[in-house]
Amino acid sequence: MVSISIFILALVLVKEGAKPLAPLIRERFSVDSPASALGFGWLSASMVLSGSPVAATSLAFLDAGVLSTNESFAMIAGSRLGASFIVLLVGFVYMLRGRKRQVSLGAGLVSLLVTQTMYIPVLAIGFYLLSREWIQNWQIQAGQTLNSPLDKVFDPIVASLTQYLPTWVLFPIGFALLFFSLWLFDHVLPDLHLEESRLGQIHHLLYRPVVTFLLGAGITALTMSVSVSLSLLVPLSARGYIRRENIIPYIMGANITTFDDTLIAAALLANPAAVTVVLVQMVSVAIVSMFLLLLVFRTYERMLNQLVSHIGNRRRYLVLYILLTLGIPFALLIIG
Amino acid sequence: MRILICSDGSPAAEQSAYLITRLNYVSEDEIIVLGVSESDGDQVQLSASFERIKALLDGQKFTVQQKIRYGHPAVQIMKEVEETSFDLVTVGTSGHMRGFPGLRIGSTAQKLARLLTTPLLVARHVPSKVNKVLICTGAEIPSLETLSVGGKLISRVPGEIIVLHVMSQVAMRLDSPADDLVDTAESAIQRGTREGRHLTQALKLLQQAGVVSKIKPLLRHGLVVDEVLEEIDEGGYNLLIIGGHYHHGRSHWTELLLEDLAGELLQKAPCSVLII
Repeated sequence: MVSISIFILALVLVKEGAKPLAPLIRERFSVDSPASALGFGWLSASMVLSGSPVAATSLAFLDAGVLSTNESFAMIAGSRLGASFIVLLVGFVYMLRGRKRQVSLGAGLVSLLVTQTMYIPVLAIGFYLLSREWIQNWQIQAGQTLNSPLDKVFDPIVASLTQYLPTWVLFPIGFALLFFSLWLFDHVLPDLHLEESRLGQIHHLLYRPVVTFLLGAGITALTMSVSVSLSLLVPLSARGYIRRENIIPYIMGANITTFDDTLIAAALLANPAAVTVVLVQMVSVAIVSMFLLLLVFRTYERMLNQLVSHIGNRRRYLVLYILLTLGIPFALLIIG
Repeated sequence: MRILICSDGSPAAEQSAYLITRLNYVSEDEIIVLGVSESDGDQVQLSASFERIKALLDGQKFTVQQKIRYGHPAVQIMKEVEETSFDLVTVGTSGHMRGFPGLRIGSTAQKLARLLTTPLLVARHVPSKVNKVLICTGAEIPSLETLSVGGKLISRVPGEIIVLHVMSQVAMRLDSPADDLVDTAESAIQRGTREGRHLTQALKLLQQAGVVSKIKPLLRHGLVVDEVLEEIDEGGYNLLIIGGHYHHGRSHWTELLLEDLAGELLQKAPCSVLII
């Protein structure tokens, strides 16, 4: 309850604090198109080492009128692309310090590549869905049926804070609280006892892709974080290994339900457009995942494995990949 | 040993008889040739196929019996195996099996691979000499049965037998042991890793099964199916031996959760496959 209350307060503060920051974000940071919003979300998540607070912030920006629905959708997608970057960076540093690449890069590189390869079609499907008229008609009209529960409870707190602080200061305070509340969520996780289940042998046995896909989706729905969800698998193997055949569909499933905290944020904002943006994100990831899983899984798995080998086997390819992973969002922000 | 050779009258069926002659079974072994006819018109074709199979086997001086059953091939073969106990069932197949990896069209061989509890030998592209065999092991308890039973069935094959284990694991944490992920079979055995200990046990089991060929362990790293197929391609193997997806002691629930590697390799392997 404490973490949820802090999460709600953080959302209100980010929303209020974002309003005066609109000119800064749109003009100074040039976040004025879906491409630049994608780059902004990607870089922000890379810097704060997490996707969820950036995704929630994107919804607060949408609610405050700073971003359009397409821009908000792109920023959330960017938050997923940037979220795993730290794993790669830490792995690279370990490699430079003499650790073998098999351990330094390991599952982190596979996880990052699954997300990156999936998000090209996800963005295309998402933008297509958001451009359809029926999706606009589908959403509930806020003024008619919904009022944000946040406004009634937290308005007095925001009002008293603005008496003593400039309004824009609420944004960094809110963002820090968002981060803190998500950290709290991670620390009150239910004990899943996976080692006692049939799936405790996930490091030895090869499961059907759809089984690990559902497992990834299920566990991440409870943990709300891909990295926390993956960390639950670590104790299952004495050596900390997982089969690469199992991890790919697991990440695919995790990439869908990792948005449940963002969906909660959208619902708490009581903004129908925000809910639509998150649902479209989840549906787009699910469509791409289903296509890959059911029709071309072996080909995709082989391609990804080759990509991991190429990047991991040669240091200059790895450096190039890291530069691209950092350079693309910068380019999107500048050109977009 | 009692062997069942199944024929639908096609040349592919004769491949299975030809493969049996290449595995150096002895004259005391009993062979039953089962023809399965789906319609009356097949009988002429079946009789001709019987004659050709008999001619192939006569040279080896086996005791050969003939039988005909009518109906669906997989169902009739299953009935025959239920009524009479066999040590090995063989069928032939022409080339690679059709179908999408996820949506496989069921062939007789695929159905038998799912239903039979007896070892199943699927003949494909049989060469004049079988001298290189690849045995795949998953380094789990069911693999021990694959090695013991498979070893006995190919014990008289001269040439080379390679015992392959594929490690497809990746590290999830930075303090994971890195050496296990780059080991060769030799270094894994020397260091006594989990995989090394299993390969040592595999070699012992094959020797106990009476294998006369030279046996070599092999460890590869990558995606299991891809690595097995690549090894077959690179090594020019004549026969692949794998454990069955469905076997005693494994619950249907577990079978449903686990990937059917046997079915996938049976579909994609360019050589004959023995499923234990």
